[in-house]
Amino acid sequence: MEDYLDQNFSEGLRRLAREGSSDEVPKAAEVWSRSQFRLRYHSHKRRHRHASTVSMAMAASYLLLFLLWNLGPESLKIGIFLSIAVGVISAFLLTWMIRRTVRG
Amino acid sequence: MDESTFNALYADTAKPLWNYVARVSGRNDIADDVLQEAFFRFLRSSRTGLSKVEARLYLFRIATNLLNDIWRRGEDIGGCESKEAVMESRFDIALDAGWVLQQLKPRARELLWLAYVEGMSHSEIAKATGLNRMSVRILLLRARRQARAYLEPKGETDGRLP
Repeated sequence: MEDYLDQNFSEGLRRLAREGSSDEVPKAAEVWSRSQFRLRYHSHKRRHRHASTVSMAMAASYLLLFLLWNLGPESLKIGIFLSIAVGVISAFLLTWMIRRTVRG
Repeated sequence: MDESTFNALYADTAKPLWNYVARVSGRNDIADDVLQEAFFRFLRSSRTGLSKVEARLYLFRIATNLLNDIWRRGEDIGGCESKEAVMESRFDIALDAGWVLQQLKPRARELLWLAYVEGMSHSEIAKATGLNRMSVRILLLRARRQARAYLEPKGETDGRLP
């Protein structure tokens, strides 16, 4: 009796699976194009996050070098050149990032 | 993964995967969403080089996790249509099995579908659900017993339901 019920049930489920029409399943092209769009969006977001981290690091380095230049001994005067260079690069990166954000 | 490889994999796995989600959740709209999300996560993962068999199991695993997330969030899915209402108009073995499936707990539905329809072994079910083999054996046994209780003619179970 138990085997009969099991068999009946499994046969019923298999028939249920066969009954489903292929039209109900989303088309491969749809799933592919949606996935590609989302993948591109995700990689854009990842790059964006990376750019912001780099900018923050540059800004922090600029601050550190500026403090070294002001508080450190005479030999650290070279810090002025480094701090200006880092400042210019971080300003450029921040401007670029803001422009992308505004455009996006 | 290029589009032609994706199309070949999709042709092999999309319908069984969609059927699995639709029958276990009882809703076609959830099946559409889960199918899309499962393939997206598969493409985003670094496992696109898997063999067809492994990719199929991996896709079932993603879909099962997504279904479990839906249940964990407490979303009301799965029909609770009364058996009388179903049996009034249709005396079909497939519909009866579908009704019984909807009466079971989500985990039991998943296991029974994977075992009976997909014909997966215990170890394959373990891979597709994230359970260990021993748990699959026990839970499947329990799920079979519960399903049987719904299928037994009235009187043989003393009117008790699992």
